[in-house]
Amino acid sequence: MYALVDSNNFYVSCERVFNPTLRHTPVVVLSNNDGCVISRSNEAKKLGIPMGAPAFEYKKKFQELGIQVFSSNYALYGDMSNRVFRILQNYTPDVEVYSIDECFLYFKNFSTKPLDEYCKALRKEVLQKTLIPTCVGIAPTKALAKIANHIAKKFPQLEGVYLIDNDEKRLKALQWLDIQDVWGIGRRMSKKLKNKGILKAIQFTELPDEYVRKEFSVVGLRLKKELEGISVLELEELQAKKHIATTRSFDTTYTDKEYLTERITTFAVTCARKLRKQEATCQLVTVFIYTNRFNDQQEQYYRSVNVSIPYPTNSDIEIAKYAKKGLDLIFKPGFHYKKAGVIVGGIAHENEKQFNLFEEEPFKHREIMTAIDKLNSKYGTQKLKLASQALDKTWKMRQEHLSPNYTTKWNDILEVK
Amino acid sequence: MIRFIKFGSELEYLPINTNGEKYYVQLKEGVNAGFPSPAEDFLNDRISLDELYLSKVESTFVNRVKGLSMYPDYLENDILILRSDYEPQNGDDVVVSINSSEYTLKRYDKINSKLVALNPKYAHSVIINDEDEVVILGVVDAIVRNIRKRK
Repeated sequence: MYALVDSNNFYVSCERVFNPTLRHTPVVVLSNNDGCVISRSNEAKKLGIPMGAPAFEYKKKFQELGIQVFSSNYALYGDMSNRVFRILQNYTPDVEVYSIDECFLYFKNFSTKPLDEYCKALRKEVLQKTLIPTCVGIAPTKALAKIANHIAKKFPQLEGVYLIDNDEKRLKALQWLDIQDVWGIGRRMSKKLKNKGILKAIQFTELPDEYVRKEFSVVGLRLKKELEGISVLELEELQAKKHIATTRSFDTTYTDKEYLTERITTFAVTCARKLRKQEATCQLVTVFIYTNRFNDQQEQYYRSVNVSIPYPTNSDIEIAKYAKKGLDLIFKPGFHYKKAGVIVGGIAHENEKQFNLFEEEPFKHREIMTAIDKLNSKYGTQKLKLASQALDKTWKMRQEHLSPNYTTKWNDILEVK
Repeated sequence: MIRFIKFGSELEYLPINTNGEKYYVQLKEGVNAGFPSPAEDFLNDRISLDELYLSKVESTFVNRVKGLSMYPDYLENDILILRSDYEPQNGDDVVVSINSSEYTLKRYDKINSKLVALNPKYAHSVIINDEDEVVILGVVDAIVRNIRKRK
């Protein structure tokens, strides 16, 4: 069985943890550079603020409706996300950090019966320790777990947990779910399906296999199988577009930190290249390392950590630097590592030329990095700092509504009377 | 694990959690000549305050005290180490919000369902009713206070 744990309106929830006066007021969080709305409280949703609403267009409306506005504070969200993941990791060894606010858990050899009770306890523990509300969907496949989560979120009487453990519940869920809300069905695919009169998820599963494969390739067919309750997607397989991941299972296990550092750096650089290809930047790096979960003889260790980058970037050097920082935080010697990965999040469109500094000459990156290292050792860190200061000067992000870094900076900790 | 700390001529033991994240400050040896320091091999045995205060990073918050509502137990600028995994007991000090108020530091009087400000000059004790929404950020586990003021 799979469970998808999803933090409700995560960025807004993070702001509310430290500012309880916002608990029942409408709140929105804006993307990088205060561009558009990326997280809304339920109150803001009710007031009709759509996802992606451009901030400049809605500025007046925000004021009129008394909506509290925040710039995105990835240092804070990353730290809160780490706290949630740490708790989840105590519930099962098989955890896939899917994005900053979503996590798949895999329950191998757990009996189905108490699984919803188990997840209720999990949800309660997360809420007590972090004050972050979550919803949990449990089902035999990842795609169905996503739907169960959707249902848990939509119907408050379920107390945040929904379990699909029989065909009756599965069919009921598929009859209820609109086709465009099915995980993995993009805008083009749902348009195509709607043109054919397929409006609900259930209708998609009623199409013949051959037809689905022909029209929507093997990806569509796998999705159909998943919705039928046949698990074909294991942890870490399907990736949404809101984050980019580079992960690998190693041919053998490694205990050596140097090797892992090299791997993580390479993954980070690959992510950076993928970002540049999409003309995007990221502001958050998630690093994870796993031991071999199928080897019962070895001691198991699994950790992931989010590291926030103070400015949006798609530079190899920057992303690799922060990824390495993440590895330093989670690496423990003495374990046999089988899998590692880098996920970048907080993705936004790149609209500042300065960050293309290295794009023209991707093959010179190594030279540049070596040069920086050399300078660094010769003149001390000050030289490196100068470069980043210069960058800061030419590119200043709009963050007019930034909340304090309550959990990561001494000067920003919460003050209580 | 148990460590010993010397107080005058008496020894007192403190239980210390060892499952916290550890960050060590590296000791830089200033002199190259002569024999290597016999202590070099023991560098890792430094005491880590994180071990003591941050053993549960996912349920620890750090706050700073403003004002004197909890005088004399708390002074302005005391650093509070809060634990969100503790169930508040009678007599615990908590950082709490009632009905979407700002967070305040109060002593929890479970018997009378009250949140008490210790300073008699503050009449800000609050009775908790059943319909109140009470949010507790954490229970005060420790305070860090700078005794010697430096500029």
